Amino acid sequence: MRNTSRFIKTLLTLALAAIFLPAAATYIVHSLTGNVKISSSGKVSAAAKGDKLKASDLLSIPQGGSIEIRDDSDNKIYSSLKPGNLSVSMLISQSKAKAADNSANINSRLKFAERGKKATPGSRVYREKGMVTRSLNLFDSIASDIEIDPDALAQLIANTVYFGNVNGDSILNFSTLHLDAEPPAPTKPEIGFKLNNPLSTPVYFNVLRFSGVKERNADISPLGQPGGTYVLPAGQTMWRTQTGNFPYGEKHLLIGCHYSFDIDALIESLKKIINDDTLIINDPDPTLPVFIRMI
Amino acid sequence: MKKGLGLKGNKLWKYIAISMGRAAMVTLLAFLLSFLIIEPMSLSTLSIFSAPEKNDFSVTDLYAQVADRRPVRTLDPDIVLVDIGHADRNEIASILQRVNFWNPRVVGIDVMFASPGDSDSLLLKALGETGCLVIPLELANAGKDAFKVKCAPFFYNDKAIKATYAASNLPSEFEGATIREFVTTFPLSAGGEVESFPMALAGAYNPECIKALRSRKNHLEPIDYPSREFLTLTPDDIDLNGDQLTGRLVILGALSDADDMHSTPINSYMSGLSIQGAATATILSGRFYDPASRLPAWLPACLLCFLILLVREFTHVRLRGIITRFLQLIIIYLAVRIGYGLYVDHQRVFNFSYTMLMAGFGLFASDIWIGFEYIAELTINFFRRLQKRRATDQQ
Repeated sequence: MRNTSRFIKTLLTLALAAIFLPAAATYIVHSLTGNVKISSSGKVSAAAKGDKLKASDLLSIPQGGSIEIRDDSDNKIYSSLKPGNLSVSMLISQSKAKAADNSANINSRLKFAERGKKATPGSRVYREKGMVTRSLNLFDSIASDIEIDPDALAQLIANTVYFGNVNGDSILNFSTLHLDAEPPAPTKPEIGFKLNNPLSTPVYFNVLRFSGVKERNADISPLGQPGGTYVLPAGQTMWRTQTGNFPYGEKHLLIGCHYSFDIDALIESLKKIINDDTLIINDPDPTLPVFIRMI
Repeated sequence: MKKGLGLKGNKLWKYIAISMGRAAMVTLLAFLLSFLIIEPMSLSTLSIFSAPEKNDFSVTDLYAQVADRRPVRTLDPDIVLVDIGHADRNEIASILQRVNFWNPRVVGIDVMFASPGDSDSLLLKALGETGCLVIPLELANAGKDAFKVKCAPFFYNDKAIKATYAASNLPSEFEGATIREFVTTFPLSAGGEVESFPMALAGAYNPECIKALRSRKNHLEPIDYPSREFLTLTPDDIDLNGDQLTGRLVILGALSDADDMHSTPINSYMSGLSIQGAATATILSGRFYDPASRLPAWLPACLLCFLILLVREFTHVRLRGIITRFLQLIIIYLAVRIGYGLYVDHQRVFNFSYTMLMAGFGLFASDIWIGFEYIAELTINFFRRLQKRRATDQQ
């Protein structure tokens, strides 16, 4: 009798396992930013979109990174809340709890956030991020949180402008316009450029002006005004000209990258490099995919 | 000291009754003031949230924005969007043929082919080969609550193309305003009606869900935007992920066409394609929002206003200000919090603007009441003195 009951129990357990085993949830990496690592069965690997995960897999989310996991069984997408190490099941349970907490959700909207930094007296803060960030989110959500190191970029540009090492990475189709005035006019009346992005990803660009011989100066060219970094979406072409008096000695450089860059930090770094003869310029990173062209 | 504190028996009851009566009268005054400001002058406390040039904010926008930022979203199980980008007609034909290869249940094309081109043979062939097809029409207003067809595709009368034609117009309160709702059906001035694009898509995909929508008998239904995501494929993705299209509702359109970007409660720059997708998903999921009628929105507002005034009546004069101000803040917060809970958990829209307004106007009305009381007192005293002087003069 006891054996029969044990047999039935075992049979029931097996039947239940047979029902639930195929229905076990499969988790898929839906999206991610930053270098998120997955530790599964003792193996650590970098997470990639579309990777399949188990509930017990461990995730390592770096500072500034995030991951979204999709439960294939019900199409729910769970977002990580903060950086750190946690398992897939923990991430899901934390997201569920946060989503269901109506008070916390309302409070997060109504909270009194810290105000941004104010300009120091006599200076101005030129807001540019609103424009750029929106474009980044719209056209290139993956690159929206990534910025090129301004010092590395400045070294590359300085090398090109003052040491003649023109960057050979021609990722963009580019043509320039120069309207020469009647000689002996010392200035050009109009300059411009046409830029085509044949890539499948957006390109971030702006135009810098280099002037001065004794005291070298770098600033944003009238072609790049008012400021910030501009986005040229994939497959699009843009054209810009500017009339005025442009001395022949000035150099206008178009800088294009795969990621956004902080134009103010870049100019600051450039000024330091080009005016300090004692400063040793490191060999620029040859792998940095930057497009530099003289206009 | 509050003068009622030392009273006993009938005097205490009389004092309580007078205080409650005054609070009720002031609540009525606050209600009248709020009503006057909201109705004829179209002013709302919600305008403080709105961009000044648009003056376009609804209470549901706040709820939708909060709900959309939750860390759990749903990938829609029925709808797939195909972004055709800036493809020309021949390219659209090619995309459509590749979509058809994977046997989707319904295909919607959110593109207006207004006039014939130089070479449309490929497009017409692809359209003719598509099984269950929904194509948009553009309608224009033709008088009150009536519409006429403004623009139809050039193949509208082509019998080789078996398509359902539906109106893709998106409703908003004024030009450029936020799109919060979709239309169910458009009555035509010539008689009959045209289904909206999302309704036609949902009806072709699952006729059962249309019954529920029709039973509600609403011309406009709020779109359930928050926490929803669609699988979006580019033409290049179709060959790789085409199996995702099988048996599903596929909508072709452009996701980044500047002419077709609109403001929505959760995003100020959303493509018409995404909006049509969200409206269709609302019908398919049956997540319809029921706006609470005007009476329940006013009722708690009046009760809470009465509560604030009652507390003011029975509080020590030196504590009155701090207590009523904090009470106002707490009530406004609770109104927002409860409204959000009703919105996300029960699909009910509770308009807290009335509560905010009444909470503010309660004390304003109280000040007006006190002022009028004093003026009335002065006037009565003046006439009494006048009467007394006349009586003295007569003697």
